[in-house]
Amino acid sequence: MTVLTIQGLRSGYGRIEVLHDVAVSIERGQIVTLIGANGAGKTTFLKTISGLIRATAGTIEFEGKSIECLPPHKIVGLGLSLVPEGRAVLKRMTVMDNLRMGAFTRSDPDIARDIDAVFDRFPVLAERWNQLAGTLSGGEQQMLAIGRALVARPSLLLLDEPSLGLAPKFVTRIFQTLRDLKSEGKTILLVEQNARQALQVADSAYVLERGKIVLSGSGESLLNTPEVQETYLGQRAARSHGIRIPTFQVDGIA
Amino acid sequence: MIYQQLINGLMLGASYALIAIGYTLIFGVLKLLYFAHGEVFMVGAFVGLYLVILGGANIYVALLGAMIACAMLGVIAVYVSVRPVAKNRPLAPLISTIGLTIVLQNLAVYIFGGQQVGFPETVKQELYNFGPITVSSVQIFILAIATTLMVVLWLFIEHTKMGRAIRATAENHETAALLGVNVNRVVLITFMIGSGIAGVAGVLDGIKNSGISPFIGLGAAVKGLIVMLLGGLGNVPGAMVAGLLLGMIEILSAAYIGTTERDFFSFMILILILLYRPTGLFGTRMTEER
Repeated sequence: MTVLTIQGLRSGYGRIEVLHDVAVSIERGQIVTLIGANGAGKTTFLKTISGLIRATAGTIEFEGKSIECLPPHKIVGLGLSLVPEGRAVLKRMTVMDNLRMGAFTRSDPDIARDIDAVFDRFPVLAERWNQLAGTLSGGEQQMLAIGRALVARPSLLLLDEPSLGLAPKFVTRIFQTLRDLKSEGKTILLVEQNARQALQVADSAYVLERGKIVLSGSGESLLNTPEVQETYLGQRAARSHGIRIPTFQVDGIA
Repeated sequence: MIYQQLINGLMLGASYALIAIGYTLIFGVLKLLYFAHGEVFMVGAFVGLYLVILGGANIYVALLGAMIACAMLGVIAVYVSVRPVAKNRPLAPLISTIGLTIVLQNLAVYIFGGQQVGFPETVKQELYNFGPITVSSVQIFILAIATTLMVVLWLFIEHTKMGRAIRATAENHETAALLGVNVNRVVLITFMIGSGIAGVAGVLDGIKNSGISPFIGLGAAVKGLIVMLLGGLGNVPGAMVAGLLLGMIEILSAAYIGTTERDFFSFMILILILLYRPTGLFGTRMTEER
């Protein structure tokens, strides 16, 4: 079943169009990744889906509903959560209050249980539940941002560069979390500059260049596409200098 | 003698704190210096007065009436002086709320007249002696109402869903919206709360000074502003403590140095704060993280 269908999407800032006629579709239970260089329009794409930027043309259909005209708080209420770039935790609020804010759209009695589930997933957050989020390390803030989005029980989770600026052990941790979430049946749209790891976890992938989708396919097939290897995996440059690229082996990848 | 003065300072400070809370709440969510707040305080005082004089209301009804009327006025203020004005130009809403100040003040002169109007005795005046200290029933009443309001507000901000939404909005509009917060609604509610509290402060001020006029707004606005800066922009507990502090400083300087120097000390504090502790006494973390 298709969770999100985007067609003919155009969007940008003022009179500057950043996205030109973008089409993307996401099936339930999949990890879909969008890779692209800095300035390709990845963040604009996510901001447009979540309602922070109004699309100038095109349709965004989420679970059968048109959402391109809705304000962001209504879109969250429908079950689409964005974890913004740069770990946008509420730094002056405690870890616990951040997680409670994650449940802002909910009013059912299971919220406490879902917060406990986040603490089980990221035990370091349980230790620091009463600390201000601004005092956490970058990796911990990213875990909090993801945990907070999960408390909303989204049917689609959008992640904007979750590995950006993190220490390698946290990057591994974040990608492991994405695999866990997928095995739990969650649907994820992942935007990344870390193309290799993103393509390794993704069921399907899109390449965004200067506001246009230039390639799409399964994560694995894009990993083996020469254009992708050259531009995003940096293999040609290395090869031409006679350097052998060590390939990452990650367990559990089909 | 000094204890007596400290008690008096506490009373004065309580009403400063109530005004400053509204200022700082509104500054928190909008990063906007909202000038009309002092006039909302003035309107609150008049609403309370007229409920007592014309409606024969008791003081609690007058307080509640002023609170509701001012909360409504806060909503009107948002619609006429904040929303229509360009958001990306920070000076524009500053000017438009100054405009609202002028309108409200003139409207009050037109309706209530420019004279000082006496506030009838609504709280029975009794004096209690605790050793060397004399406290009046009015003072106890004012302090009790102000303290109750501050405690309730603090609990609301810290422990309710809407309180958390206000804090989240104060920190970052975009992040709050992405969590499902209707930011425009939160801004409106914040104005209602801040204005409602200012209305109560107006009535309390009327009881204390037993007289009000359409021109009490400016003084209240300036004192509220000093307290907000002293407590740290957007810092609600800071405003509470700073309000009490400023009240005591004023009373003590009036008692030991001279009545005419009272405001001089307030403004000296303002200048010193701006020079040496621009983040306020309690160092608010207001730096924009973008």
